Amino acid sequence: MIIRPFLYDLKRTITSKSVLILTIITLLISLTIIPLTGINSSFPGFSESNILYYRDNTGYHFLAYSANQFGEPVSGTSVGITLTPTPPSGTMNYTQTARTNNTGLAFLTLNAPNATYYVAISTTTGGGVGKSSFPLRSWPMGHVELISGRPMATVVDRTNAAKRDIQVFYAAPFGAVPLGYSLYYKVVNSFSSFYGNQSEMTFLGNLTGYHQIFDPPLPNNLNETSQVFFGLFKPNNSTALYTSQFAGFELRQPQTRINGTNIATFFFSTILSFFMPLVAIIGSYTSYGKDRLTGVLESVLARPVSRRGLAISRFFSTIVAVGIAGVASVGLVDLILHSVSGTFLPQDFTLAIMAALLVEVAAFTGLVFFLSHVVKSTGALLGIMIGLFVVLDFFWTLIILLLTSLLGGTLGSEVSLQAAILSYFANPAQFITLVNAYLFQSTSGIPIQTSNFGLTLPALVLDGVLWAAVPFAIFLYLAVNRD
Amino acid sequence: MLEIKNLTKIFSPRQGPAISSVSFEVKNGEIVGFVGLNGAGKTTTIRIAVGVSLPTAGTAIIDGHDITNEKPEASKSIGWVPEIPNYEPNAKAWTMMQYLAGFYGINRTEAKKQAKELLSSVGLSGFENRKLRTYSQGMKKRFSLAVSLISNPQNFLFDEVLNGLDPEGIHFFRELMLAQRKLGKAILLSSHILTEIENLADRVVFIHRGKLIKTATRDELASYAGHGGVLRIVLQNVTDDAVAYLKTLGGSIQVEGNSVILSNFQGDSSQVNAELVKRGFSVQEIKHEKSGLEEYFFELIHKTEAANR
Repeated sequence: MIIRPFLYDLKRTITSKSVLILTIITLLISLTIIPLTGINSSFPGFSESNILYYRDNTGYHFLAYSANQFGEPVSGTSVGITLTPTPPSGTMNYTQTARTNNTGLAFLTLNAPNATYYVAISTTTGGGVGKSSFPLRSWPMGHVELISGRPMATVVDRTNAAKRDIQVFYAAPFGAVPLGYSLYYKVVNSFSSFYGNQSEMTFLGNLTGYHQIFDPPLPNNLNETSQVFFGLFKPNNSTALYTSQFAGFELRQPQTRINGTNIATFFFSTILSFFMPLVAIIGSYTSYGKDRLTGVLESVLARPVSRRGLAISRFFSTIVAVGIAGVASVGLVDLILHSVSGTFLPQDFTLAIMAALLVEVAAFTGLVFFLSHVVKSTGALLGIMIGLFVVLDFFWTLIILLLTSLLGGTLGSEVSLQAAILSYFANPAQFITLVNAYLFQSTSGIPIQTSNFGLTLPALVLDGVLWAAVPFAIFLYLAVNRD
Repeated sequence: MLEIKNLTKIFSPRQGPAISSVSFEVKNGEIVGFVGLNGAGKTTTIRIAVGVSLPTAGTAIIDGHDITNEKPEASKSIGWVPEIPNYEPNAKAWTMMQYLAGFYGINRTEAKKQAKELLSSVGLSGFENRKLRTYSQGMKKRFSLAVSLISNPQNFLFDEVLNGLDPEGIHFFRELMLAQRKLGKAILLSSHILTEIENLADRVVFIHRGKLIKTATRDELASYAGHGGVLRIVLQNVTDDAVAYLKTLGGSIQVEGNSVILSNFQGDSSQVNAELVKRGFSVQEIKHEKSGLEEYFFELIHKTEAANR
């Protein structure tokens, strides 16, 4: 029976002018994350085509592999190859076009006799057309030669945008699948030379197809001079490809570099955690506080609904309405970061942020609902809540400083960190900051062992539950038992 | 049927109770007038009975359901029109009707149909899509009446419902109440317009300073009317001789300028006029107002006040 009124309340809160404006502002502010990324999309949807060829008695065979920035196969890429004899013999050109299949591969055979040719390559994807042409070097029959792309290249790690993996694209003689070929790597912490001795390298994996992605277990703290060498070896351990060399920071982005999670953390703990309490205050005032204090709620209370039922319906419809704004904002940020970095934020991080946002929303909603039963006018309610918001959001740092000095500490000292963590427990507007501190084991950019400061998972969950439940419980008691 | 049982409401311990042990009932097919001075406790009693205020003690039973402990069930049988209807100002009448119908478990289609019919029945056709903040006080009362009819309740509580209405509005409400009584509904009508109460009510409940002081039936009121009334005489000059004569007619006498008011007068006003003229007084006006609810009410109040002194 209460469902339709609940939906009405939900719609009413969402579509109220003030909540609508604040939601739009929050979403627009989410767009400010774009300049925070500081980079344009450096990963096109389609990386350069990798094309190799070999020759046998039947002609020239080309194998093309089309992949995205993650090294994942891209189907439907059109690959055109044209062989023009050099010098021009007056005979026909040899041309063939094919599309990559669902494994990203396209096979082309040009029945051209053994001669010297000028090759023209054309690739067409949704992202555009790529063209190149150059003399085709003549190699012994069966020899496989890469004529476009790199046999070993870095690609973005699907689960961590700060990482780069190694993509290998290779074929054995006469275009055979390079089964039994193996990839080795070695980390060299200087600019010293390395000549690719297999015995000095670490086995990374065997090739099972023409293309494969490897995630080398490299340490995260590779320094600026770290170099990583990769070598591909045949089944008989002879060298198949000369070693490829990559700078360590190219494979593992240092922590100081901007990555999606860092940007999101900054955004959520500063901008979003600032705005969500405001949206919750305005939403709660619109949906309950104003109605309660102007007597409008009585016109609803006179209906066949219990005081408890009406209170719960209004509370949760407000939480859902404001929560939608928060979740939409997190989703938008995630989409923006995905479009820039190619990866979504880690799911556990996103869920933790959403949960923290809901705690903030529930706490401020509960406080407004509770105060609606304590104060006598809408002006007093708004005044108190805006005042509380200003203190909790703007002046909290001053309170931390005061607490620090009372405890005899200085800025950046362990005492100040302890004061900060303790104060975050006491402030619902800082709950996201508390969650971030726990997730990243750092606060104010200083790495800490949060458990040493009392910030453990049970403490965090308890704090969240208390902030979400206590104001609501007090409100519910007053709504049910007091006029 | 509506039963008010020992209702007591204390808003603040520093003040006395707003109402104290108030008990009465409104039977089906009966209109009960609820009369009292401002602040007597009428609205407090009604607000508790409809469930928007909580009692300190006692309760109201609506068709067998306790408004405090079984509110959803009890509220189904209540139609309430407050003195100052207060709905969400930015909602449209049409939308608000459907929203409120949702609480009665009425489905969307039926709610739309009912909203249209009820708004039309209270004379709000053509105003359905206007925001409630643009409604006049009278329109708000009509809207509130339409809302109170949503579930075709058995019990109506009208709190000063006639205040601020134009004559057409008063007529409309009067006819509606009579029609509902015919349908066997129980109606509690609080009003300052005592002539309306007098004309409509089967019984009248009097409340003073939070306490129920009297419940009078229509017959009792009629019987009181036979006791006399007020005689108002305007003389050119009010002399001691004139006052001495008028005192012989019985009842209490009050002189205000050129006017003399005789309370509880049971004689013949034309005889008094003739006697005054015969005695040489110049009578400018003489008016005999028969006793009614108003006199009954004030007499009751005076008696109660006197007893409390």
